[in-house]
Amino acid sequence: MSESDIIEPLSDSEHNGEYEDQVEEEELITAQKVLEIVETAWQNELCAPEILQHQADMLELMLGQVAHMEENMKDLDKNDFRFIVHQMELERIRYVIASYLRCRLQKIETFTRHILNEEESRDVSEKRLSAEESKYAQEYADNVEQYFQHVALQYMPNMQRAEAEQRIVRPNLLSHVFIKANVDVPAVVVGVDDEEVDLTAGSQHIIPYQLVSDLIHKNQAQLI
Amino acid sequence: MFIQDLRQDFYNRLVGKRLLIIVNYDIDAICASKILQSLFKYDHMLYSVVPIMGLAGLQRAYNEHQGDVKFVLLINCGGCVDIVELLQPEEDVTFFICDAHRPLDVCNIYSDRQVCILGDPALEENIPAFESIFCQSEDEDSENDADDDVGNDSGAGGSDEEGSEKAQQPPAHKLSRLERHEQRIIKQRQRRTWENERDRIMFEYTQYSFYGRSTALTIFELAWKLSKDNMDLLWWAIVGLTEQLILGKIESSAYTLEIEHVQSHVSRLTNKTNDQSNTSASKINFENDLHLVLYRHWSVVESMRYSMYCACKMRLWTLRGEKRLHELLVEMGLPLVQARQMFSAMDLVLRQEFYKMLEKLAEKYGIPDIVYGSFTLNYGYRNRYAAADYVYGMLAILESVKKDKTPEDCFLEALDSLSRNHRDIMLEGIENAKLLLSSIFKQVQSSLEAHQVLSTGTFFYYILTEENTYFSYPYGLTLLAKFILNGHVAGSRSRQAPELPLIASCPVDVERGLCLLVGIPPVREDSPKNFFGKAFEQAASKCNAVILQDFFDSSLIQIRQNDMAKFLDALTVLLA
Amino acid sequence: MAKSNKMFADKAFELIKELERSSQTIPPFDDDGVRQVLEEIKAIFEENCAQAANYSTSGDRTLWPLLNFRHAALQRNKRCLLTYLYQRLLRIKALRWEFGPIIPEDIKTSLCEPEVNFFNTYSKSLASYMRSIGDGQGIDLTGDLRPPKSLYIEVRCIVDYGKFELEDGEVIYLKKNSQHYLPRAQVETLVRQGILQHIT
Repeated sequence: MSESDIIEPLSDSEHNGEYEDQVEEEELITAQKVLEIVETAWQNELCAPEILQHQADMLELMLGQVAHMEENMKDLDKNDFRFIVHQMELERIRYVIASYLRCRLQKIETFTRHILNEEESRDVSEKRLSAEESKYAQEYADNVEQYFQHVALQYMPNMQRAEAEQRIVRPNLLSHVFIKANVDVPAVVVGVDDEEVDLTAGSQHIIPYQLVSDLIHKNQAQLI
Repeated sequence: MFIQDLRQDFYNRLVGKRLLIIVNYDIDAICASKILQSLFKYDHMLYSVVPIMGLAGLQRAYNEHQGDVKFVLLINCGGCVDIVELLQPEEDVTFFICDAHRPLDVCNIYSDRQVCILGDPALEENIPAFESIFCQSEDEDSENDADDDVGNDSGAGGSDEEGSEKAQQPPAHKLSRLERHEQRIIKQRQRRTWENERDRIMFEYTQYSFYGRSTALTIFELAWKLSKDNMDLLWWAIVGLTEQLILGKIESSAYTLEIEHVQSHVSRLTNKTNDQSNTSASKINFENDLHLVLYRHWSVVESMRYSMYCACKMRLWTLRGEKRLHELLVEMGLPLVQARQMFSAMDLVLRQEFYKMLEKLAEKYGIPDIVYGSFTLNYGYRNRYAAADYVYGMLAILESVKKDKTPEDCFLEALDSLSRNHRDIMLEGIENAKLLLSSIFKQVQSSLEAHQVLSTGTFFYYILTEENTYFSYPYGLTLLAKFILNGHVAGSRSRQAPELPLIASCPVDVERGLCLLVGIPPVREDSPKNFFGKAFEQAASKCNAVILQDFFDSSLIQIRQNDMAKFLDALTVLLA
Repeated sequence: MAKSNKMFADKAFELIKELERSSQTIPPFDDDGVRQVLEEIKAIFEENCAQAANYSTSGDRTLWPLLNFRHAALQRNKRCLLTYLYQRLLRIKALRWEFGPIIPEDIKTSLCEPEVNFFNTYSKSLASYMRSIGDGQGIDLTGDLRPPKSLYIEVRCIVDYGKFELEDGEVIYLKKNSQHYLPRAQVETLVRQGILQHIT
């Protein structure tokens, strides 16, 4: 999806007159980048088996940009070609964002306990859930526990703690994914015998997720 | 008011606004609305499409859907009635009428702002001049005032208002009582002659109802002017035009004229696609085709038997007719076995020769007009449809009203069947059309053998006594009636037969005792001008029968079973 | 030995089978079945407890497989029961995404009370999350379920709906069998509810 070009018209002469501040221009330059980041994150999130780092600030920027554009477009005549194209773009961006958040929510709901446990063990800079997501995850976990407790578990004899452990759902980190390397990666450990493979930039591979998860996090490769 | 520049005055006015499109229940209207819908989609104009069947439906649809809509489009409906009077719209609502029915109502023609008719006034016949039907209202007012005010202009009276503050007679116009009286009588006489003249003109104007240019074709030309035309739209326009020919709404000469225009469009569009080297799968060809219904999808024998033209000329419901048919086939070199198979299953050589052989022998067997110019659509490698096939298919779909399938469902299905993705609906429609046509033929055969077509001296009439799935609907009944009239005339020896029209009727709703009645003009007249509208009205008023002239086609009415006899009597007297 | 050839955890398994085979999205909550399973668990556990107490005092090894067997039966029962409950939970969650925060009446009757509570809590939690994204602006995540293909779509009205107001204030009358061309974003909910049908 080459949606990056659509942000171009924002910087063309017609609209420049509306933006007077320097600050605004800076936003313009990164708007394209923001969109790219959001899209990559979306793709990665959809393909990865575990939940990835959240991009809340990027999302906020994007949403702000969308609102800004909508404001600008209110003055345009509905049949103007620019209006239609911009509107289409906005709807697509909205879809990407909604899909991204939905995917994350789904993963949270499926792997709730696991994710919460992992989050606790990580330090602040590495946290994968945003604040709201953590809150949501906790609420959800409590809700489900309470429900089970209420309906069934309270009637059952006491062997709780161990089997609560049993009930955690873990993501399958060994599932295979398609990746595409962004930059040259010198040594990636694959296979059982600790073989090492060099990934050249732009190459595409199929590989178990676990072996490349750190690459994804460092943005050296992306999932397709 | 007429609008000729469709692009400027019609389309550009509508850009960006929301529209209400009210469509009549006939094939030409469906094709036209499909073309319009695609035009509006290009420009992202919001619209709502509502199907209707008659005047009552029109009123109901307008009242319900009116909302905030400022522009209403009426396709193939509403041209012949005074719209403003009927619907009582608000001041800022504008109506655009694209109607093939004629005569157009004079109030619609002369409305200056609210009602716009899409068309060329030069093509219309006999529109009465404005002065001869609408008079200045001042004369009326002055007639009703006191005697003293006869003949004075309000201006000269010294007061600017036209108010009835004319108690005092202005001194300049002091006439003697006798002279004033004379003047009044002269004025009244003048007015009476003027009124008589107007009535005569109006009567002549509205006497015959007929059809004008196909709506689908008009809308297609709009698309052409907007440079948004393509093969699909052209094909729909062709189907609309062919419907007019097949159902006998226009004469074959008019059809031939239109064909020439259409041909130029076809060649232009074909060249355009060839130039741009987009291989579009659909191609439209012009060729001389045969008036055999659905022959590409049927067997030759059946197709010849069930086509009205062929069957009536050769009288194929009689034994002798059958023998003649066999003779024809023999002379063509078509084995009977092959002729009874589906056309597409015949030998390739025979299929290719079929047209030429038939053309050669047409004269000899008395069916010279079996050849006519038409268009075929080639889509891909397998599908080949003639325009007439589409018409019959859609007709069958429109008629396929069942218990759980309302007429609106059929309408929407017919609308869908025109698009390329839904070709299966069209194929199903063609199958149903075959059933329809064969049952028409069987009905005709049995009726003619039982001599059920009776004559009153001024017209023939043919009454069906029970409800029939096919003939309780307008299209089916019309086709049946035409077939019967032609058949009867072909078989009758009386010299008067070709001059007499036919009235056919079929019960629609037995519990409520309603029948559908249709009038067909005589065989002799080539022009489809139809005077039944007015005739029915007058006959009904004379005999106090209650008829429902709801349909936009004025030769179709609904009447009670009980009133039938006296209605027919009154009609006999009228037409004598 | 039981006289009949019934296995342990039969009832629990049946619960799951019923749920899978049911033609409705959420069949009524099988209160009875759940209770039976719970009782069975309790019964087995008690037997086991008694035996285990016996075992630890007597050291008799012969009963060890029996204890294990009962333990396994217990686990299986529990697992089946929890699966049943969890499945229902998933379907209830799907309800929220499809219908919004209000459950339709006919489905509400098939849910037991804790399920209704769960639904409400879930709904609230989801709503507060949706509101909090994007600086308090909020996005409705239940919309935009498919990538948008065009700004406007052609729809046909399947049932009589009445008046529908567009964003710019225009009122459209949605009557059965009328066809309209409307902006996609605003009529998406109606299409999902089945009132309008998307025409391709």
